Amino acid sequence: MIPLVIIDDHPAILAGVQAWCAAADPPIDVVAAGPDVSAAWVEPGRSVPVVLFDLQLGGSVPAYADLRRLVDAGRQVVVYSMRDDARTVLTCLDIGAFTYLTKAEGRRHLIAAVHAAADGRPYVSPSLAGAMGINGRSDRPALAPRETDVLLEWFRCESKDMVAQRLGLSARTVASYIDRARIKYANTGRPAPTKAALVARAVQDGLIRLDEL
Amino acid sequence: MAELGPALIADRFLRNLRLAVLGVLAAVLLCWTLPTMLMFTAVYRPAWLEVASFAVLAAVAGLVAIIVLRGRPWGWLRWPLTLTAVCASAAGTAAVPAADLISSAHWSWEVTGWYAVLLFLDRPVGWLAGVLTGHLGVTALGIVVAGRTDAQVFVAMATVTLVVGGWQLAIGLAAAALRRSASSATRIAAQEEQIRTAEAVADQVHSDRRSRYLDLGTTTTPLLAGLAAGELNPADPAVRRACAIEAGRLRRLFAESDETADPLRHEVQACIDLAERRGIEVQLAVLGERPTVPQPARRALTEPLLAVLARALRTARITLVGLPGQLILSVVAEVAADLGDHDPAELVAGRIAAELVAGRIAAELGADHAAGRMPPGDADHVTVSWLARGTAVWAEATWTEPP
Repeated sequence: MIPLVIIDDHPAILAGVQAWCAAADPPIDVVAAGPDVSAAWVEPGRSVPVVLFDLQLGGSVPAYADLRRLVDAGRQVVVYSMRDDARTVLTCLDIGAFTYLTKAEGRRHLIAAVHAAADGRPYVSPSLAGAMGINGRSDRPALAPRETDVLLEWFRCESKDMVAQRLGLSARTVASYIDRARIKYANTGRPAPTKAALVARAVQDGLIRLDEL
Repeated sequence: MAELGPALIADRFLRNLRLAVLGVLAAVLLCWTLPTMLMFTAVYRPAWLEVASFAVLAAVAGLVAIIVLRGRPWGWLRWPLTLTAVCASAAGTAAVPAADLISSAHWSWEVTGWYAVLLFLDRPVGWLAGVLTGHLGVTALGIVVAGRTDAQVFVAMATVTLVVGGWQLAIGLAAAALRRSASSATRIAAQEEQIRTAEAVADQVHSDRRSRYLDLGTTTTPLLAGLAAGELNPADPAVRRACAIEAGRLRRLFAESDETADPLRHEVQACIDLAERRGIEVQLAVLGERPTVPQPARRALTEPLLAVLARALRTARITLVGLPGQLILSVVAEVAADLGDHDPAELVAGRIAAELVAGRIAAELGADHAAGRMPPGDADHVTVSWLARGTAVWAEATWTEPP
């Protein structure tokens, strides 16, 4: 059983995600859920490492400060939001979110993202791949052209097999390009425990060498 | 045609008048003032002041000539130049002994008015009158200070003022009249331009309508005719698909004539609306700065989208990605497997992508995957590529900005 805390102010979404979690394999146990971030700070939610976090709580302003506090406490935060613009996605990545899902992507990617977060493996959703691939900011990590291609193709088709066929690679190689790009991002921006954990795990797994960072 | 403001037209009118006045000023200075001054050199007290007065006036005339010949506006120079000319004129008056004030030796104040004419030709005539009066006042003050208050000197001054000043004011009035006709000419030109634009727009709208009907004539009309005549069976999946595509084309056509800030997205949305009505869950994701895409290219971009959506079963993912000088519209969907009834040879140029995707998938369903690419059309610069794997189709239309 993988424990999870859900923060979302829409009861229907809470109920829906709980239903997906119950049906997941391995099953995910929703330990605490609530309309504001306090559910993640009081027991029983306090000791749960993985948090599914709606960025748009109540008002129209994204709750970056709440996200930052969760990340600083070493929680693996899966951001789950209506927003799909690259700027928001990259800001969450900078703060140290584990991954970013738009609500439209939720169904296919949410359970996989929670499993990966519990396991400490990187998880890149299409919206996150798109934002990393299109990023024009000067402080972006140096991605290889092939990595950018793969990110954008994966954003467009959501199928690693199809990307692999189009680019003449194996599905494994496609996945490792995506993960390497994610690790490069984890290594830039603001230092955060979750990012450090991602990088450490990637080095352990031989996904990336220390001198590549 | 370039837009001509009233100021610009007035400038063209006034330029010639300004050149003429400059000619008058040069002639007066060189042919009359200079010989006069040289003739009376012995009279002036002190003589250097008179020579200096002439030198300053000549220098101002030189500067004014440069500006006029280069066709520049006066800008901030207008007032310093006026002030310098008036001061030089006052100095010239001061150097003339009281007895000679009504003789030709007192040339300076008759000349200075021409500077005012030149410098204030582009202003309302009141400004010129004001400057001329001001100069007259300064000169009169100089004469009174010199001790001449007799009737003789004032009669002489009045005569010269009427003769010379009358000329100068008349030119100012002529300039004002020219400015007025310039602004009515502009107004009339603008009206004509508006009428011409309206005619051109009407022509364009008319030909657009014709070309739209032509487009529909080759695709929609035969389908409707077939349905009406009972030759096509509405229960046939192929006929339904054809209807879905045509409905999409009509939607897109209506969307094309809407005025929106982002026409491509609007047209994509029109295609999506129709798929959603058929119960297909469509996900649209947009990324990056999108360049402006011309209309024929937009049509070529959305064509594969229409075709894939018409065959989609449950879900479709559409993405619109803008990269520098490039725009990619991509669609991924699970499509119906019974697509074997399309002959690629039937394909008409504009319908390519979609039909080919369908035809190939059917032909190669047995294989692991199939892929293809169609080079860009001459007019639209849109490359279409597609990949089919099992029942999933991924079609992409890429517009590359022409160099």
